[in-house]
Amino acid sequence: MARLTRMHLGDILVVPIQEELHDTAAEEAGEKIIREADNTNIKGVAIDISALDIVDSFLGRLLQKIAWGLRAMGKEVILVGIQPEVAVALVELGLYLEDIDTAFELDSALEKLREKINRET
Amino acid sequence: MANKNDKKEIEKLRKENEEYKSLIEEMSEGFAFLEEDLKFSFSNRSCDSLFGVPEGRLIGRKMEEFLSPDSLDDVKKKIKVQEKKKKNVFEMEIKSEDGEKRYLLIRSNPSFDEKAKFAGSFVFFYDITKRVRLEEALIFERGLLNSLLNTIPDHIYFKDEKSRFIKVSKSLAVWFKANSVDGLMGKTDFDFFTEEHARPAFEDEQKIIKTGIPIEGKVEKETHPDGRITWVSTTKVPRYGKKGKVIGILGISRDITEKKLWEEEREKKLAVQREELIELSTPVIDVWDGVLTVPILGSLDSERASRVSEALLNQIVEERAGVAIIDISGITAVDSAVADRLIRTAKAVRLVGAEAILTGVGVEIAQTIADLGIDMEGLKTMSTLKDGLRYIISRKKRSVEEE
Repeated sequence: MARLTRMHLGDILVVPIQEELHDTAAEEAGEKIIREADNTNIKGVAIDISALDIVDSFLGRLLQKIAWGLRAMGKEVILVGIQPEVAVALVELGLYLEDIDTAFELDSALEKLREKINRET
Repeated sequence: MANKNDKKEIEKLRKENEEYKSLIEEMSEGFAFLEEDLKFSFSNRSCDSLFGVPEGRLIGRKMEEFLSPDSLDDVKKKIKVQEKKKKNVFEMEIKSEDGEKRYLLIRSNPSFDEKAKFAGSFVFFYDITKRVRLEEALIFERGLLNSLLNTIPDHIYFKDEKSRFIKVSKSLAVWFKANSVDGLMGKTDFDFFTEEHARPAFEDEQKIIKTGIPIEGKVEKETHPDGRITWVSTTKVPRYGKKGKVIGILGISRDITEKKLWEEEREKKLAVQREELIELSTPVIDVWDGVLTVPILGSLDSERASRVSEALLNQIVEERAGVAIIDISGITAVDSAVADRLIRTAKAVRLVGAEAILTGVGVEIAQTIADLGIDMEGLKTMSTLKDGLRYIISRKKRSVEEE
């Protein structure tokens, strides 16, 4: 199974997805993220998909599911580095992810997350 | 007794003479005796009919009455040869009394009197009009064919069932840089082109021979061993033998290299122009730090819409622009597909990490969007571009003040 890097930056969990994930590997990765975030210390999760050039409907829906799951757990979520082609593909699939925050890169993503977390506490 | 025998002998001779005479009279060939001055002193039925006179009326007439002055001299010369005891066979053209032109083959045998002096000729006449006419027709047809093959610039070629040249136009020999058309006989395309062209052309021809279905106006790329590349428009049809079987092909190829190059050149220019036009019509303007604007003018088809989308998204990511204003106040026509695409673009803008503001949404477009039931969540709309900019400025101010 694919390796999945996870980084803890204070109360923020950063997950860079570095390769295309398919089917079971993707589902396992999703589960790992949820489990990793299931920790009171974690307030926000940044999922970085800037390395992905394509996203199929399966992975698109899975991202949505993970985000919703994390939100249900009370975590802030942000998607980082969606490439133009990927954005177009997601929109074509009808996956607008309107309720999920986005950012160009990790820097601004962390800033946005922190802002939100601070506002809440 | 002797008298009786003599009588019998005479009777026998007379009978024989009659038989010979009737034999000569009934012969299908014309037979005559021509005196030294070419006067007929004997002529059988066939001969009379060849010269178009009533039976028995050729006798006493002269040959020259049936000949043109030129051919009279010719005939005289040929008869004269016979004085040296030579037979002669020759052809001549006559104009018979009934107005028909006839070609006759003549076999003439000289006749000499007791003193061995030339007395005239026994002459057989054969009607060869049909044959001569056929030959003339063939020569005429061949002349036409040759003028076609020698002068027409298109490449014309006849091939046998194994795609070997059996007759070609001069232009083809020139095309192949061969010295003469004869040099092409028995050769094939493989001797003059590289495999790249020779192979498909050969396969085309074999298919025609198999199926009898012609090829019309096929544009072919010809590749020559010296590296030349030429283009031709080719038509190939089956050639049928006597038994109705296909025995080869006939082809005509026209050089269209110049036209092709010109077309390619034009195609290229057009593509460049199209590209320029599209870029001109969908500029992404960097209006301010982190703020991009795309004013969409004219009509938007789906090709242009996806270009706009692509250009905008790439530039947003490249410049890390925080806000993108899509101004559609200059749009002339919007159908539901285009409206849908615009909204999708705005949503994609948000996905890459920027904020999208749609400005200049008129009544019509608003209605279209409402009709479509498109979810506008996460999309900011303003009535004019000015409002959009004002909104961004005030927000920036606020964030500066906050700091």
